Amino acid sequence: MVNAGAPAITWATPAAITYGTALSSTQLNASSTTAGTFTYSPAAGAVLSAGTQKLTATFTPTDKTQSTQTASVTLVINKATPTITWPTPAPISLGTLLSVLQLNATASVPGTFLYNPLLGVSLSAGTNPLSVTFTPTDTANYNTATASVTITVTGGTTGSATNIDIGTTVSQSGVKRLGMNIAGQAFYDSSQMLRNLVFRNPGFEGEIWQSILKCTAVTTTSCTDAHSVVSMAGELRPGGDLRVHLWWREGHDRYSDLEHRGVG
Amino acid sequence: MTINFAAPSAAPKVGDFVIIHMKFPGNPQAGWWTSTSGGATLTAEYSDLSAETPGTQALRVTAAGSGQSATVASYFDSYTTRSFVQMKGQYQITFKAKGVGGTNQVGLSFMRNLASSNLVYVNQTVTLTSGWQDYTYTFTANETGTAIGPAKLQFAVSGASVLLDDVSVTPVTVTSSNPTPFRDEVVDTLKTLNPGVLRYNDGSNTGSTIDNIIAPAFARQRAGANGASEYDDVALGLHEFLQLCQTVGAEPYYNIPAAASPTEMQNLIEYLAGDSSTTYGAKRTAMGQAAPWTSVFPVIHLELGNEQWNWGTFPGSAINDPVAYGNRVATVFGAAKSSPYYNASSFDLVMGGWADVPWWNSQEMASSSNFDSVSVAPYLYYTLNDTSSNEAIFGPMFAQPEMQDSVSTGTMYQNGQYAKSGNTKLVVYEVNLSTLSGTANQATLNGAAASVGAGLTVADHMLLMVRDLGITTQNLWALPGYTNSFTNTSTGAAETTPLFGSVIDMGGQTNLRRPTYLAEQLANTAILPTMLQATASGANPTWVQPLSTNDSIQLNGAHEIQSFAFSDGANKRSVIVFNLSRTTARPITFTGVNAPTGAVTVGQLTSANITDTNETNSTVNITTTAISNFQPSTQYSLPAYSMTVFTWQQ
Repeated sequence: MVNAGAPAITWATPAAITYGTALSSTQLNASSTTAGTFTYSPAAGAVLSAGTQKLTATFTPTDKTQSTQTASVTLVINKATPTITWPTPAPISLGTLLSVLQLNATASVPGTFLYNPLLGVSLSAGTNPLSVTFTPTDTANYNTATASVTITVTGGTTGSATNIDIGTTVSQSGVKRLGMNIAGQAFYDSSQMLRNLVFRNPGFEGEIWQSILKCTAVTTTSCTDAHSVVSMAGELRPGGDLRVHLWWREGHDRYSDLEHRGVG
Repeated sequence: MTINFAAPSAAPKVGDFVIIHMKFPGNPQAGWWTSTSGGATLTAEYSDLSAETPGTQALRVTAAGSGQSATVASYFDSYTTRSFVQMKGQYQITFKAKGVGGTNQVGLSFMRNLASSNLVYVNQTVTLTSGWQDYTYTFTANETGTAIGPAKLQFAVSGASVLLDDVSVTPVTVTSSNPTPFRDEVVDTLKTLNPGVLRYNDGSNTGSTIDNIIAPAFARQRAGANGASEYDDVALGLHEFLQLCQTVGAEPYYNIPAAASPTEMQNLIEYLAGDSSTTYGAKRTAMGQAAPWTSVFPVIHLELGNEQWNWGTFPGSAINDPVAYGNRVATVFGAAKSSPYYNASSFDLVMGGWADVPWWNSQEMASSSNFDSVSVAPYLYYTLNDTSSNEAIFGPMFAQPEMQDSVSTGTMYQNGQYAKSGNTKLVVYEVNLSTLSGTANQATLNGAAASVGAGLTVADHMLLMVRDLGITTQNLWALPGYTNSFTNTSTGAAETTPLFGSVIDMGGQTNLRRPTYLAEQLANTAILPTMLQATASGANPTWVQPLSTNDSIQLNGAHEIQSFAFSDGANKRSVIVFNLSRTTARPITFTGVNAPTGAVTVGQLTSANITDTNETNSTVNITTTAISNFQPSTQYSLPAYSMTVFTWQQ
């Protein structure tokens, strides 16, 4: 953003940084074609909160005949992800309940740990996964983090396991990843899909109408659809147009544009 | 209603169908909130248009007379008490306008209406020139999750007359990673999911035409098929949808209006597959896509209509007769296949079916031809009545996929048999839980339909349909969609079910993902083109699922362990294993030449409680562990109600 008047200030929008990164010349790098000095707010070394923050530069030209100029840019500061440290626990024997000896993850910032399985659970023999979800106290600046380790439970027998044999027999080919329905946009709904936030008739256009009627009663010149909500959108306005296509189930399309004699 | 017409050569019969087409030019302010006073008017302008507009109308605001004023406003993010769009960074308001009387001034404002105040971003008077001109205004927003309330863009005119057209409010920055017209947060969410297919069906499209579907956004008309009033919402365009599919690497699955004519179908094939010298290929090129879309995607799925059997929900856009619809499919898809631009390997022409009524599908197939697939939507768990324990809720929920897909009495199993006998294949156009009625109270309903258990159920269902029925094209319903109404059949209380959206919001106040999304995301990290047979032996625990009042689910010998193995034909291998026990961790081992060995990455979805949700906090998460020396013969314990994915290089 450049204020009107000389000297001009050039300051490109800086790349996003992660919370905890102090402001430096990487972000505070405004320049001018005129000699002078820049002061910034916030200043170098400041650590800003996550979100979109405004940075302002004030340029004081060496040439005192020129006026002081300001410019600003926005800086996106992403939340940081805490570092979780969780050493792989030593093997335990069958029947040993999980305790703080195993569920002992630590994080780089304050917060709470939710383990799965929970404290006091007895695991089965073999390799068991343990996971933890860490929720930082400062959720404004830090993301939730997860970590997992495995623990070996010794003893017991292997006879209770389910064995899965994976050979070379092809079960299905041409498999693709599972898909997803996106949705259209409707007012009061939660699905704001488009970049253009003005999504309802942004071009001030008209309407077209196409409706399928099933004839539950007929005459030689009419078809009645008993469904109450199959109806017209209103009176035709000047410039409007109505066409009727008949389609008979006995054969292929026998389209014909027929004269409209009235809609009731 | 009754439609009258000149007597045709053959007399109409009961059961015939009539398709009505109408055009309603005018009413340019539809979809906008308006006010006028002092005799000001809002009318359509058809001739004095900007040379750059792709549309055929503009809005004329006449308020130059003494005491006259008018406003037109557009709102978004208007869901009560929640926000699905938090604005961050620089935005721009753009519009075309022309002053045609009085002061030529228009008041432009953009604000967020908070509960106690307005967050005003733009509020200024713009003096328009007497010729059409583009106007752009920028502002910066920094909403961090607490800006809850509708956002409003408004034009206010008093003592002037103006023409307005082609309005947008968009982020200023367009990144190379998202060249689509979709929000960055939507694209990022889909990229993380990595879907194989994206489907788009929109009720706003059912009364549309192919020409309207492929029109630029500012020229696209509203389209109606039923109801007594005009439609206000404009459907997403086909071009935009295909851009989205291309960006996230998914095959497109697109529903065209059921009333589309054979000629329209041929035009669509030409639009998708014709070169730029063709009439419709040129339209595609004009939208910015020179190469045929068939060169972008391995296959494009096109379905005629949506849920033709569901006439009660979609009157006016349904040919609710399986024989008639089957005939129509034969005609319209026959036209597609006669197009010189049609290539069988590039298209999957889909006839819509009815998952719950296999007979209906057999009637359609018997009366039709020229289709490649039959689509079904095998939803689960329609009713939630027995909530006496977690076992009462999740025992039947976990048994239902196997009951539907893998047992000869299951409806999906029977649909598979019909498809096999008709030498066609099934596709799943929608699937999810559909828990919309029952006697469950709100708290219990939340802990069931949005739970980690629900996520596991849907993923298990989809994978069973791949393994046991060979259905390789499947689409979860849906990406967005915060809640739906739930009918409490006991108390009559107004409840909501946390369906069908698989996310809470994308870049809104939470940015949280529901377990259904996480389960599909995890499955997609493992799915490879070839599914290998995975055979369970040993303990292979089962349970007897007694008859439940939840969907009348009953199954003897329901399997707790379900496994799905994959190969890319080269070195990549993976296996997905579910433990559907509600209470007990189960150990597994592996054997076979394609068993996981050595350096194995283990992804897992479970939670401390089977009822855990992500409705308010990120409680349910995928965890990932790297094991450097995985021994297939060493027991690996699967937590109760868990989905575990092993991936490795052979």
